[in-house]
Amino acid sequence: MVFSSMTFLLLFLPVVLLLYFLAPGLKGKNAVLICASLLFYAWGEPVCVLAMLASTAVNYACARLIGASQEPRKRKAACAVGVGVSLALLGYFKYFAFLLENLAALFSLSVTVPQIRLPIGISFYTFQVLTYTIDVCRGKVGVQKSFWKLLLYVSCFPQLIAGPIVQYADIEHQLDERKTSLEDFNAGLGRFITGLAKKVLLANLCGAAVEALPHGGAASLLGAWYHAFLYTLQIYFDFSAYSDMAIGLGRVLGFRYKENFNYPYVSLSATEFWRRWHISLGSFFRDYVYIPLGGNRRGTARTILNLLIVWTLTGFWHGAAWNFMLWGLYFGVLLIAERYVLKGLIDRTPRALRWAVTFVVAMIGWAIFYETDLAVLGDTLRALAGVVRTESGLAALPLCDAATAQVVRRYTVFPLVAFLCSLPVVPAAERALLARPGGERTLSIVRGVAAALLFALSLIFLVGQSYNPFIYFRF
Amino acid sequence: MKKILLFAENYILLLTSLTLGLFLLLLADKAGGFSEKENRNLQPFPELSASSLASGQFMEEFEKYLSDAFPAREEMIALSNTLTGVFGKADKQAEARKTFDAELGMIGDEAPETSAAPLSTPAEDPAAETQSAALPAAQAQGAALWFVRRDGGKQIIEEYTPQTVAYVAGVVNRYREALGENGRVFLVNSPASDVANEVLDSHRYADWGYDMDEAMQPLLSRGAKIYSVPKILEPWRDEGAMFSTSDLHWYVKTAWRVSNAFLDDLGYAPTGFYDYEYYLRDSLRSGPFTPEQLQSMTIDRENLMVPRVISPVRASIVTHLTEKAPTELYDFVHHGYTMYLGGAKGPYRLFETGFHTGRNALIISDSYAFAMAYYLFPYYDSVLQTDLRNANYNVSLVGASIRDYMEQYDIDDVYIITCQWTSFNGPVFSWRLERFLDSATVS
Repeated sequence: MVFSSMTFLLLFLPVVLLLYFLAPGLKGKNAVLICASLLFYAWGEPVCVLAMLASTAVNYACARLIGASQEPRKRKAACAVGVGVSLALLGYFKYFAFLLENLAALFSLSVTVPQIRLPIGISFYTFQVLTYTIDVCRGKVGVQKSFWKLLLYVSCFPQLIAGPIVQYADIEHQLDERKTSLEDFNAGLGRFITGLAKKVLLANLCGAAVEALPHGGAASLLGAWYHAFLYTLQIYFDFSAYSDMAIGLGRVLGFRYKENFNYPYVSLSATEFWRRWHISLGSFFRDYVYIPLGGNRRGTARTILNLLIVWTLTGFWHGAAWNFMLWGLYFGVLLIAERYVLKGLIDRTPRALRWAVTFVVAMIGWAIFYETDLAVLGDTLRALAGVVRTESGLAALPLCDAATAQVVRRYTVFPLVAFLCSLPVVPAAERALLARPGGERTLSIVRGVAAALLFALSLIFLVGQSYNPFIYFRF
Repeated sequence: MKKILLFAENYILLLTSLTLGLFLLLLADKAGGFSEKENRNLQPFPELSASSLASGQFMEEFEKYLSDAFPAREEMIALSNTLTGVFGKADKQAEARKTFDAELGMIGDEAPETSAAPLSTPAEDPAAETQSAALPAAQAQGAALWFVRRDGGKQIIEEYTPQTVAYVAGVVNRYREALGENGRVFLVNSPASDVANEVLDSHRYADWGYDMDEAMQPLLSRGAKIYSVPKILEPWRDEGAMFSTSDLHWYVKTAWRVSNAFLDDLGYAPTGFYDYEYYLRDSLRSGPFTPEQLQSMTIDRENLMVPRVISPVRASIVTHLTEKAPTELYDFVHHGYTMYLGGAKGPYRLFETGFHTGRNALIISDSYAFAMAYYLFPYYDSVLQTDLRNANYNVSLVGASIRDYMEQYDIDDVYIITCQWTSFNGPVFSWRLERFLDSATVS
């Protein structure tokens, strides 16, 4: 099920909240949440729910074995089984066909590549369940004796299919003890509505503009950059909207999820960008891959290698296609360069220029991310450089083409509004309002009216767009 | 107190949502129905079965049902379109344009024929010096299509440089030269419906203007003429919408009116609109209708009309590399504008009209000529039609230049009929029309 769908907004959410708050005690509330989460996941992908249940069951059993043993070898073996099974499931559903396809191409084999349906959110819940098993093995968290509580952790519908990746350690105690105050309820629903509006009013409109530019806008220089700009906005609003909705719903239900985005487009370097973008994924790779590989404690060469491994994996985590790996490596190389080569230069560069360069770097990154066909990606990157491949070599690309001119004319105001919304303009306005006498009351009224208005607007827009999945669902 | 008020507001929002949801689930019309505006059947309440649940089909259709059965749905969609327009995206018909793209090929600059070919070559730029057909730009004036705002200001929608005007005129003249002494070339580039309706339907703008005809006509050879659709339609502009509000095309009656402008110039008496009988596209309402019935129909209903030919017409796909193959004159299977002329099959379609006039025509077009073609049939022995847009002009099947086809089918008149989304600034006019006149390939 999709948050920004009529089924969710008009039926699922109100009914689940009603049942949740009517349910007696935490046990009852947890039971409501588990049933709701399984229904939420099974809605549209009924069979795939089995993969999630299997992954949870195996890790539950392995963690129990880890807890039952004092021998490090046995504990590690059980941990390896849990991690192995989870990764095997992820590997099969997400990477098997890709691997087969590439092997067949490499060795000129005649192989029928199976069409494997990717269970929605498998990348997210696999990583979540891994944090549990690994942390139990490390002794960082206790063994969860209740299968249902572990299932609730893995399947809890607010964060089930597109994150944030909630580490078990962050939520362990909330499974046993949580309360929703009036403030939590209000703030959570407000956050949810903000996310809904970001998705429906901003991301979807950016998406419409992106689609209006054929071939990634590669017919002209302006087209290519405008496409990259619009997609940069679309992916931010799309993904951060989901995180807003997840965090908001979590809060309504008494869970406190960590922030996943912090205005990434204000960053002054690629390194800072990744501290502000998909924070939960960065934390996962830091805690469960980079640091176990040795982090930066084994010299420069090893640190660089570790960073390259982490960024290659980050790329591949996003999808079974070479462009994702390229995208990961692109950022990996940039971060290494910023760390070891460009640091002095960056420090001396004026802030405005650093911001502009970082924004362009992000746009190029998203251009790589957008196009899974490497040949087309080549065209896109050449177009961003202002050239086009011809039979006689490279030729200059026109500055603008008819299709781009049409799109620029038709989407004149909207991208600027969207761009402003990607910057911390709203918090700044709220701070300014609070600084005025009676500001708190005014802000409260403004927030209330804005929430009602945004919800109504989102519904109006949703009526005409019955299916609008989130970009990150496919990861 | 403040918190309680906020809670009350959130509670009301949730309650409203639930009420709406329950209304849709229990009380709304479960049968679906038909949306005149969108020209499609609305989703009825889906059938619940084990297989539809397991495949996810039930959930997909249920979501669609909730959206389609939403109270005041069409008004809400209209409101969201208006809001979107205010928000800066003045494109009311993006979805329709996507359909236009998907069905009929790319609009504007387009994909290469092969992966090795450039996406855009210098020759695609109308201003490029490499264009052999260009007349000296000094002779030409620039031109535009524009809106007149309510405050009297001018808002340019599409602009054509003197170079573009001169170049397209030069190409049109080459087509004229390729015809016999009495040959004619007719050129129309109509505003698309989403632009036209801003003036004719929603009246968001006070007026519109188009002066490409004035800029180009002095450069055209005798026998070649460019038309202005806004000027042709001026006498009827108070009679209601003339362009579809549900897709990017014009109504058949508008196509008929524009075709009459050509026939007038040819000295023919046009056939009356209701001298034709019409099919209605929706199968439930198919069959011929009397003029009285047709006149009582709503404007949107008229967009569904398909003129019935008044003589037996044989339709075929022809190429220089394959045998002549019969095809349909109508596509009653699929929905969409391409049902006219039986779809967008090509690269060339030949319509042997059953009339004996001693003249043959070639229509080079996008889909804007599809409904119009039927009104031209009575004046020609055969009508050859092709669409030069990249997705439709299959160079691997063409096998010969347009000039070869013109000679083979003894073409007397050429019609170049497109809408603004096949722009004078786009590849059809900036290089394809010229290139394919004497070449069967891109290179």
